[in-house]
Amino acid sequence: MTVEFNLNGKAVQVSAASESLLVDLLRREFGLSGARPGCMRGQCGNCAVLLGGSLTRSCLLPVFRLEGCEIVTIEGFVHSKEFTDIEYGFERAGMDPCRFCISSKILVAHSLLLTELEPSDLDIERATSGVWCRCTSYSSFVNGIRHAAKARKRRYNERNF
Amino acid sequence: MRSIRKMLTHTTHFISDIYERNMLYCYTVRAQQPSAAIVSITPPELPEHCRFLTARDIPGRNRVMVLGELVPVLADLETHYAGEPIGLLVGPVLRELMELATRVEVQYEPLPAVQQFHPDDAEHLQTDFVKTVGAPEQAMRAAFQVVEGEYQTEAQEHLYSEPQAAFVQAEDPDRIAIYSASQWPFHVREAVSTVLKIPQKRCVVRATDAGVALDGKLWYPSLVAAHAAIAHRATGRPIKLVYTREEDFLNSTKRAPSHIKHVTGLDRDGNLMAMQVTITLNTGAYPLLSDEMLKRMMVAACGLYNCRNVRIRARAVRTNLTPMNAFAGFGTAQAFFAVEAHAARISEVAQVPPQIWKEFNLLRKGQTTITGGPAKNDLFACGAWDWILSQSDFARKHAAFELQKKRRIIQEDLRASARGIGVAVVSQGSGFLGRGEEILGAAVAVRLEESDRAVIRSSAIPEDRGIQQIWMQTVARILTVDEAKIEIAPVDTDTVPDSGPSTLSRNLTVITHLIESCCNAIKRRRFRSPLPIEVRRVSKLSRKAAWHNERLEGSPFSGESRAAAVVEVEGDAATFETNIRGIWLAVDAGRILNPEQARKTLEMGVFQGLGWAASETLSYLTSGESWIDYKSYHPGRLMRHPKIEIEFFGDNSRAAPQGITEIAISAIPAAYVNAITQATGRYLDRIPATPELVYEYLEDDE
Repeated sequence: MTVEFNLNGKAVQVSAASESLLVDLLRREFGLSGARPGCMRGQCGNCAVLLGGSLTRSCLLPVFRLEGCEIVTIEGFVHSKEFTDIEYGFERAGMDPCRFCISSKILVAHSLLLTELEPSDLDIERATSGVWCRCTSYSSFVNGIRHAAKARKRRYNERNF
Repeated sequence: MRSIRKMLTHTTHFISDIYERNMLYCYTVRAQQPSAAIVSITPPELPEHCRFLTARDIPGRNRVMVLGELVPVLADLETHYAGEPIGLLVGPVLRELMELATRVEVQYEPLPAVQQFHPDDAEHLQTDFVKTVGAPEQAMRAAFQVVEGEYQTEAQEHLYSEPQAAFVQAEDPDRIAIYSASQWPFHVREAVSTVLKIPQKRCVVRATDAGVALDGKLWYPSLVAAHAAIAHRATGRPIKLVYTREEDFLNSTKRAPSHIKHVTGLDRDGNLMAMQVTITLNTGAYPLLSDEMLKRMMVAACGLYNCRNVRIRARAVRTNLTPMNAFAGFGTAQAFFAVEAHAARISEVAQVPPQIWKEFNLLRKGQTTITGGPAKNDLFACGAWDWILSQSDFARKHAAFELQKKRRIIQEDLRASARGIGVAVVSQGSGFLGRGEEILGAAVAVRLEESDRAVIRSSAIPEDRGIQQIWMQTVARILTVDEAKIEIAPVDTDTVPDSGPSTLSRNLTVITHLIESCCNAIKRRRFRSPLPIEVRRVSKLSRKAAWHNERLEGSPFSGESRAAAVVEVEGDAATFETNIRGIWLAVDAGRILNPEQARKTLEMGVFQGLGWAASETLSYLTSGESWIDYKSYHPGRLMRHPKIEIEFFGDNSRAAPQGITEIAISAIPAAYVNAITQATGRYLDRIPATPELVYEYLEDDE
């Protein structure tokens, strides 16, 4: 089947078997490798993308669901102002994640900050529990999100005044 | 600190990122029977574009050798575990190969299988080592009281970032390039050249990102690379072989489960008179690395305690399960869990608070260890012991929780929410035992070029960026060059020397020491010889590390780090979950080269130790189920915790740096379980201590 959707701000059209999964499509057809194929069951969280602004696992998204959707991968998100908040926060916290989980951790942090600019411990725990990886210390991930929240608030305040 | 943005702009780090236009996929066909003779293997009718390969298609030897032990590349006569590779399907569409694999018909003649691990299974004993010091039997007979305990640990999944994978393609007409995320790239080269029967110089291995592999990518990538290389030889096309996460969980190597029995004789004051330890390790189908593991476990079997009458027996039992061997520490974590859980039991039986009992029985600097070497340091002299007791308020809390426990026992209300606190003391020796390092002969080269540029060449695979930073800081400090001008050459077996396997904190101790040595040699020649100057150094056994590997005598390691850990918990009466209220870690690891990174490494170790001790269960291994409930294996289940307090001791510029990667993984489980034991009033002697297990223990005694 052929589907048309918006990928990282550009309209794209692609032909693929209807049951193909977005994570495979992104890597094979568009060379976008930021979403990593992990458990392929929606549990490890390493294949995260933004679907219409919401965090989604691309291993659970078949091609036939993509028609007319707006997909943002880490390769697109990296050019946004929101990314700079997360980048600042993670670097400020000395967070040093591996290349396998980094994109999902960034998108998870962004997704949390979209709904809550002063996240509680429980909010952070719920949000971050969706990404599996042994690579980085949990406290630096939490601190990274807190620093990112401050950066985002500061940016919003500067914009408002 | 590398920029986050920079990490995202480079696209090819993992084998799953590699795409070549004419590449084919390779999928592993696996045995269904855990133990059987293979009568025949019949593939389904294959489309023209697919191939099916078996052991008969291997041009060279059908085996991968790991430190003297063998594992077949493709089983041809017998299967030894369900999931053992027996064939390879090669074709352009992975899903088609997966479907074809379900239709491969294999005729078996079943043989007796050992699915459950029995520590007394003499029939399947592979290795049996015994060490005796003093007169343990005589001392045991003379003991005032004897304390016994049996301790069990389960398998643990390494859960590295990318599942096992390999990519193989032709480089020149008669050379092949192998891309592998191995911790030991030269082992991959050796394995592939043996399997393909070609000289090693016709293979080049290029390392991809292995991430935090925790020894899960020590030897298994060599097997996977060999499979991809066989497929490449048969088709002449680039081959990509990437396991799914499920395939990896079901079939790759795990932490070896253990059963350790302690029998300890005490004098009237509760002090150690004799220790008898029997270690049994479940190595799965192939006892790879078991020699090194068992000997390290024997060295750690009596913990850091001073006992003059000791008998240790260590055995490896072969079962029909997936091969299970090293996981950060090569078994020392299992040994320390057992001895520290047993020490808590002894102090309770002797009616001496654990901190007092330890003060009387821990080795002091200068005393002799069970291997006959001198104890080079202790936690008392450097202040670590005092710090951890005062920071955690251990003595007061332990006494208060004991009173609460006694009240609950009197009131017959052990299920009420309660608190507990536990302590454990462990050590970590870096590098392989004794002469192992000399046999491996790790080599590193450093080159100083014009314009003060420096290049480090080594096949060591850093588990994180911190170790790379330490290497660069070392070069910058000795050669007084700008850190920005230092490059770490990509790992390519054609251009870097063989630095041996990246395990047992060798990257910090052996490799950093060799880099220092190279830089010092360059420094001496710097203004006498023209640039570029390149120096290569090979590791040699230190004279101090005199070690007899058969008798287990002498100093097993050139240096050791030590740590004390305290964990405080509160049990939830309704759910039997355990909430962690405090974690303290005091570490004496010599010179700390990068305190921030060292802290992060320890914190990660705390999580890995807690995961193993509290939640990570692999029940499918023995139940025969092929469906994995990943939710029961969530490594982040214990994320809610208070700040981990970590302090370093013995850090001075003259002390040699010691490894710390595994020390928290060894210390935390015993401290955690000892805390639960106090909170529940039941001796917990198994990990993972899941809520279900805690409930079971409370029910049993009720």
